[in-house]
Order: sequence, then structure tokens, then C-alpha cells
Amino acid sequence: MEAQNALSQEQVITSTNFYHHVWEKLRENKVAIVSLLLILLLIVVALFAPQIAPYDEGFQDTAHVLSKPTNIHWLGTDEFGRDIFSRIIYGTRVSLSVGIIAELIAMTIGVLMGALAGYFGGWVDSLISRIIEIFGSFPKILFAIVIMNIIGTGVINVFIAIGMVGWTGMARMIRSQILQLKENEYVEAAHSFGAGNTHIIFKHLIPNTLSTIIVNMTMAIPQDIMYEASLSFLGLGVQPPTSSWGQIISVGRVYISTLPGYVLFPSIALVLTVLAFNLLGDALRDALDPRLRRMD
Amino acid sequence: MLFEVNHVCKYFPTGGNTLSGSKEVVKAVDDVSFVVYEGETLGIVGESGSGKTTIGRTMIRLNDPTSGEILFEGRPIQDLTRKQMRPLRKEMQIIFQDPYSSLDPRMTVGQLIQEPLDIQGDLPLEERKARVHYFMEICGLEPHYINRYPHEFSGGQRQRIGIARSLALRPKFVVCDEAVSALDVSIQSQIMNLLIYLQEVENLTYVFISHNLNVVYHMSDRIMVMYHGKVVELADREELYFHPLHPYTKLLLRSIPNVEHEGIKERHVDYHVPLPDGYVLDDDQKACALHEVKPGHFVFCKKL
Repeated sequence: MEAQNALSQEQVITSTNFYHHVWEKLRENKVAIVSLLLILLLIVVALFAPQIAPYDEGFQDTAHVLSKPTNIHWLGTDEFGRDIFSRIIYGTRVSLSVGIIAELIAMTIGVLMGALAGYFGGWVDSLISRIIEIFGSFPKILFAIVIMNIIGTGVINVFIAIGMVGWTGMARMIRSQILQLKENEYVEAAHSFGAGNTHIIFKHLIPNTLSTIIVNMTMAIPQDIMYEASLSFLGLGVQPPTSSWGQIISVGRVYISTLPGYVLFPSIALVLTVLAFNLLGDALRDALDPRLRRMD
Repeated sequence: MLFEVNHVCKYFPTGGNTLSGSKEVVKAVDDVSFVVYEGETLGIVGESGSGKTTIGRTMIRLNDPTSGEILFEGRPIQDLTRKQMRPLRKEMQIIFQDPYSSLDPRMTVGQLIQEPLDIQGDLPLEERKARVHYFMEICGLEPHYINRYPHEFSGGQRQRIGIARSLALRPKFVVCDEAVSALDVSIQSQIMNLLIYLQEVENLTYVFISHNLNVVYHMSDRIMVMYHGKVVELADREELYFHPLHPYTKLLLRSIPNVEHEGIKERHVDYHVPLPDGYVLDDDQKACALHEVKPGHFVFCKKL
């Protein structure tokens, strides 16, 4: 009976949710909100590109080749008379999907490798850590070029190439975090219930690294967008007539003195996107940091 | 006899160099033997590093013993694989010391208590849910806590969640590993009373590990004193506390803070009982072993 009575004497803290706190904190940060809105806008633009763009991405207005910004071609046209504004809008699709899909691939590889290395330790850890070091010892863009050369060009292959070079940072972070997390008694508790390694890794350890995963992904997406731009700039990425920002910049650089807008406008789009993801990542890192969390 | 532990050793490798082949080990548990009877509470006391936690965890095979034999209901379990141990996990459970790190912060109370049942997976979902509700109730947790997260609770309530989770499988045997040591003194007695209440309701056998002699005295039927990986004395509670024979046990008892209430100090502890004829204490550990000097009273000493 005493056991039952005891309860009323212990204090119950009012119900709060971790992600609710994170959102509250994020909302106070104006830069983060602006970045978030910009990213949402880009997603809308990418989804409704055909509806938003005044022209089709391949449409050639032969009467206006290499025109300066006018009221029929807001940002001018390229050497085939294609509307640059429309091509930037269509390019959003490639840049964003590369950022997100390539990062999802990188995240999956990184989290799995990191979790295996951190959890099992021993020779598994040594092997995976050496692989990470090998990948890390080359410039990533060089690696991506090699992969693109092997598997060929095209959007899907860009995803694969960038995903394959981008996982090492995530793996390193997850590995070190799992090394700490596995010392928690809830892991031993799971053992005592008869749980297998798969259960412990996927039900307990990886969910507890979620903040790290989110922050790492938002910080890595702009990098991936830059890799795509670089690959396309080098002619290895997206092939015409599909447009991507890097590819427009690549072709447009020839006309930089006569028609600066050709290079300038896609570059602005690229810089703004990269900046938005970076700033959001910074804000998320602060908001998710438990040391900075207030429980008031 | 529920558990029989025979000459169990647990050595942990330290430092050492795998290349040079030198093997330095810490003998956390060194040739320990004892039995646990059904329905009793066996208290284990000792200072930090005495091996009390290690032997508790090794018994239920959370550690692999270096050598020795562990019999559970007469069946040797020291060599079973993790897979073979799995059905046995239902019979033996552990309650952890730290009510913070032993609960996954991303799971709700309901998920936490149901987890062992989900892992064992031999009950229909309805029955699992009913078990969760039942154990929340008898552990003094209100039903509406079920969707809350551990960080919303105080240490004492978190320990109740941990206890409900360990008992959800309806084990026969539970290791309470410093189960109340991390709690406020005012909460400690509530949790101890809960454990005693649950022992009656669920017919549990406990191994109760603690460094706090008052707590162990309150909880245990028999008490085992450990020192540097060895059992130095094992006897019924009254016998051990009032007629200690081993110098280390005497030292421990003298070190209990002198608080004049229902504690042990109030009653007379006889520090001057000699070992029975034929037994002597000896500094040479190799010459000593755990001998039954009186019925039910074991002391680590030398037999002449």
C-alpha cells in the first residue's frame, strides 16, 4: 500500500516535447526562418516549374538569341534563344533533387557505416575507419569525377556519384556518437531482454543520433549542390537540354563579358540556395544542442 | 536452489599489448561460489570495485564468465550463446542503478515497459498491453503517464518505470544492481518498500547489490560480503551484522555512520567473536578459502 501512496509525493514535471522546444527555439531565430522560407519557396518552384516558368526549358526563340534582359525574356536568352529565367527555374529541380536525394544516399551509407563501426568496434571499426580515411584523403570532387567517368553522365548517376563521396563525414560523426551512446545502460537493459544487435542499433542507437543526422544533412546539402554544379560545369553532370545551374554557368562563361547576366543570375540562385541551407543548418545545430537547451 | 554459482571467475583485460602478447587482467571476480535459494533476497555488499556488480551481471549472463559454472534451476548456463539465452531472459532480469541512462530518452513509458515483451514476442499484443497497464499500476505509475517521456519524471518515478519494465516479463529472479543508490534518501525507502511488496506479489527471488549496509540489512535474508573479487563472508543477516567474523566485515560495520534511530548501531554488534576452533585467518590468500565455520556462516579463512 505504501508503494501506491508514495506516488502522489513525487513531483511530475509538465508534459513537454523535445521537438516542440526545438521549434520554439528555431522560431526566435529570424535568419533561420528566412532561410526556411526560401527553401520552401525553392521546393515550390521545383515542383511547379512547368507552371511557373514562362517558357519550356528547351524552347528556342530564334528571333532573340543572346538577348539582354527584356520584358519578354526577363533574364535574357542564351545562344540558342532559350529563356534563361525559365532554365534557372527548371534548374532548381536538378539542384534541389541532387541536394536531397544524393544526401539521402550519403546519409544512409554514412549512418549505417558509422553505426556498425561504433557499435561493433574491433576489426569492423578498423576496417570502416580505414575506408573512411581512404575516401577522405582524396579531393572529393576528384573522386566524383572518377565515378562519373566510370558510370557515365546523367542525373541519376550524379546522385550516385555525390552520394558515394559524401558519406564519410556523416559516418565519422555517427561513429563517435554511437561509441558514447552504447555505454548507456538502456543498451544493456535491451540485452537483458534478449534483444539482438539489429534491435539495439536500429531501435535505440540510431534514433538517438537523429539530431546529429538532421544537422549534418542540412549542412551537407549545399555541398552536394555545389558538387553537382561543379560536375555539370565540367561537363560531366547533367547533359543538355536538361538544365542545371552549374551547367548554365558552364556554358555561359564564354559570354561573361558580352552578356554577364547569363552567368550572374544562375550564380545568384546557387549562392542563395547554398546560403539558405547553411544558415538553417547552423540554426538547427544550435536549437538541437542539448547543452543550449533550456527546460523552462 | 534457484541459482548455483560454482568457482566463477571474471577477468577483464587491461592495458596489455596484443602484439607483445602480454596479458594483464583485472580479476573483478575471482573464484566465487554461492547459491541463491528460491524466494530469498541475497544481499551483496562491498566497496566500489569489489566485484559485486560484476558477479550480479555475470550470473544472468550479461557478462561471459572467464571460468566456472553457473546453474540456473540445475541447468548450466555459462556456455549458452546469446540466442540460447534468449528464452531464459524471461526468467532472470536486472534493475539498474541509474534511472537516467537506463531508460531510452526517445521512448514513451508505454513503449519502454512493453519493450521486453515485444522482444520476446510470444504474447499477443492485447496481452502485452494489459501487462503494461498491470505493472504500471502495481509499480505506482498512473495510467495517464503511458504516453510521456522519461525526462518528464523525477528520479524515483523513473526507477518505478525501470522496475515495471524489468518485471513485465514476470521473471523468477531479479538482480537489483544498486537499485536505490542513485535516489534521494527520502525516495529510497519508497522504492525499497515497492521492491519488498513486489517480491511478495510476484514471488520473486532477489540478489540485492548495494554498498549501503543499512539498505542491504533492510532488504536481505542472507548477506554476502565481497572484497577484491572474493567472497569474504556469507551468513544470515542477523548473524553477519551482529556476530561478524571476518576483519573486513567488521571494518565495514564500524564504518556505518552513527545515526541513532532504527539502524544497526543502536543494537550491540559483537566485534570480538573469535573464529571457531580449527579455523584461522591468514594473510596468505592462497592458503584460504570460503569455509563454513558455523551452519550457514561462511568465512574466507584457513582450515587447520
